[in-house]
Amino acid sequence: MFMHFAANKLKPALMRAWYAMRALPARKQLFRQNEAFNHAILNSLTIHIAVLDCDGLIVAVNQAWERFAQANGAGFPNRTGVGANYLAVCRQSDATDAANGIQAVLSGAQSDFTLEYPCHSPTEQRWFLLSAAPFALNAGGVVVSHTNITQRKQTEEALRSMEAHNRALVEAIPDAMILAHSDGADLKITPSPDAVVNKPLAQLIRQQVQDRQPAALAEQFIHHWRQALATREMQAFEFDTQVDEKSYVFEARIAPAGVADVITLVRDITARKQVEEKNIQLLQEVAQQHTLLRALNQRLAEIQEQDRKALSRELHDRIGQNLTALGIDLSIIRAQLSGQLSGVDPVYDRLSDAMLLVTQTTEQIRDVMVDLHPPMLDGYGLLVTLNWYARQVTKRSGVAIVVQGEESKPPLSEQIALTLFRITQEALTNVIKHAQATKVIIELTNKGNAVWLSVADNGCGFAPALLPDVATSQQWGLLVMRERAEAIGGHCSIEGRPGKGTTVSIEVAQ
Amino acid sequence: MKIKIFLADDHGIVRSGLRYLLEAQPDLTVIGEATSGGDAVRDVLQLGPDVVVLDIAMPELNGIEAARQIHAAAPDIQIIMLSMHATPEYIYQALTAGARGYVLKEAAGSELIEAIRAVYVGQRHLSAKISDEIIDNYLTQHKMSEMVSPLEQLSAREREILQLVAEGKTSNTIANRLFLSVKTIESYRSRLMQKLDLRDLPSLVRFAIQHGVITLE
Repeated sequence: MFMHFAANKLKPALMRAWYAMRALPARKQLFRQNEAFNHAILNSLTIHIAVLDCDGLIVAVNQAWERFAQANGAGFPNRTGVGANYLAVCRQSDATDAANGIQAVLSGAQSDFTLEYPCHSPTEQRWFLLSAAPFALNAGGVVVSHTNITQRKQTEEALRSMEAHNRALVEAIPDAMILAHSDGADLKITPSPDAVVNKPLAQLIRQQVQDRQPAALAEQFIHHWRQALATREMQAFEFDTQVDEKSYVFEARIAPAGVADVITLVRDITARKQVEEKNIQLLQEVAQQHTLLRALNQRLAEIQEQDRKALSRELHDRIGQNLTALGIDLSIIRAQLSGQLSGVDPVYDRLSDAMLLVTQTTEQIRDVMVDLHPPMLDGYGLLVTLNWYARQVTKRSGVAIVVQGEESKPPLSEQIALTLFRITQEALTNVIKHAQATKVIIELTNKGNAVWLSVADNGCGFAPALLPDVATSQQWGLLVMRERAEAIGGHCSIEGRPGKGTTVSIEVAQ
Repeated sequence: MKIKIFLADDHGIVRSGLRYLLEAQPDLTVIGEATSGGDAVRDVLQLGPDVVVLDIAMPELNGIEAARQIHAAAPDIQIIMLSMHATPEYIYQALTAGARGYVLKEAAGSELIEAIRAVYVGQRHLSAKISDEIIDNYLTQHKMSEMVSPLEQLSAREREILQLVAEGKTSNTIANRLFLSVKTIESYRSRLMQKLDLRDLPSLVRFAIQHGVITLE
């Protein structure tokens, strides 16, 4: 009702009549009731309200006003209580803007007036909204209210700082950023501030998506945007495109933001892609080099074996034969001379020494010959050769070596047989040098189309760590065995358990 | 009556040296020479010498093969092999091909005459070094068989078959199980019995029990 009055613009004559009527006891009673009712309403409000008359004198305040004035030492009731001139109070408090604004409403120059102002207490930051609205009493008046808007102000402040952070973040990110918004039916690119879409690329994409040109790229974006909105999960994809006539590879990451918005970050990954491609290329080159190296290694081994064999043959066919001829001739000469010389003649002794030298040289040549190439491998097969070699090693080392199994049928190719022989040699060398074994069992078997060779000892066993950078002779040996096996398309495995001996096994397809 | 000798060696000086050496002996005569295995076989069979001296390594047909052919066609002709190789594998091969003598080339000057006379009267002759080698070989083998249990002398397949036989399985059953022919199984079986020096099934079973291949239940 109170407010109702205030809202009515009664003419002064009517107002005067109304005041006259007020004197009537019944009316008076009613008025008092109304006043109490209005006061109750005013007091229940949390905003601070004061009613000023046409001169700016406070004619009524609510409890919130009183409490605030008391709590903040505004000199209530003398300064801001009923009877005080609020305009004067404002001017004294350097709140000239407030005073002028209220004055303007009182004078009717302005229909209403609002002012946000800080009013900080020593302990907290506070903001208020002063609002003045005309209140037409007989001579006019105004209702002044103060609303605490600290919370709103703080929220606004927080938002402002968050926005500043976001802006700083966006500026710090090297990526281009696109905002897309779904209006329910379709996706639209919202016009982004330049700070957000900060690259020609983003503008290009925006353009392409809006124009659907080129279709594939635009559709890719739209598809992923929809996907992000539907799944609420981040989406990512890569694409190539041209920007300023240069080719780029980009990565787009799309995250849903809010109900209908998606944020897209587009990053230039051209350099990274180039590095990746370079790496793949390098890896392929390494693999090729590795294959080549293995082939070269194999070829080298072949050539080495050929050379050894040729040299061995040369020693046999030429040197051996010549020594034989020499031996025979010396025998003949000695036999001829023996009839003419006495047994103690120094020439006879020289001849005997020469013959001994021929014999010894032949033996040495034979050792070298056999060492270069196992002579029986070609004519007698691998098993016989292994048996022969095992005997040599037994004689040399005292380690008992048993060779068992069967010769391959059909016979192994020279390359496979020789490789298996060389691996066995290497394995036995390792056994004698490192294993402290007393027994070795060499087994040669056929398994379908494959031939299988194993060299097992009862020595100390070892864990074969095949690290080339710590290549001891033993590890080199293991590496060489593996490489040799691989070179003929086989596989070499080495199993060693401490105290349980070591087994080298090779499997090769025939 | 002189001992008629045929020489086969692809090295001319060796050949002429040997001829000179042998001809210097009153009881020996060289009736022919060849430079290859093939020629040697043909000429020897034509000339019919008492003793043939064959180089083990000759072009076309090697000495071993030539010896085999000569021995097959004319077992009365004695063959001596001349060789650089001192390993038993070569010697066995030469002997099984029908050679009665095996002379190392470095010893030819001093030993060949003796060897010819020995084989002529039906004896064998091996170079002194060869005999050493073979005895050495035998001793090594013997030492090894003492160090290695009899079971370890068998191959994995032989051990497998030993177990199956000891368990009472027939060769037929074993063949089916191992996807091998009955004949193969039989040959494995006889080989392993030979290796273990076992005569019959009961001794095989006894061996298998003793060495823990099978257990009595």
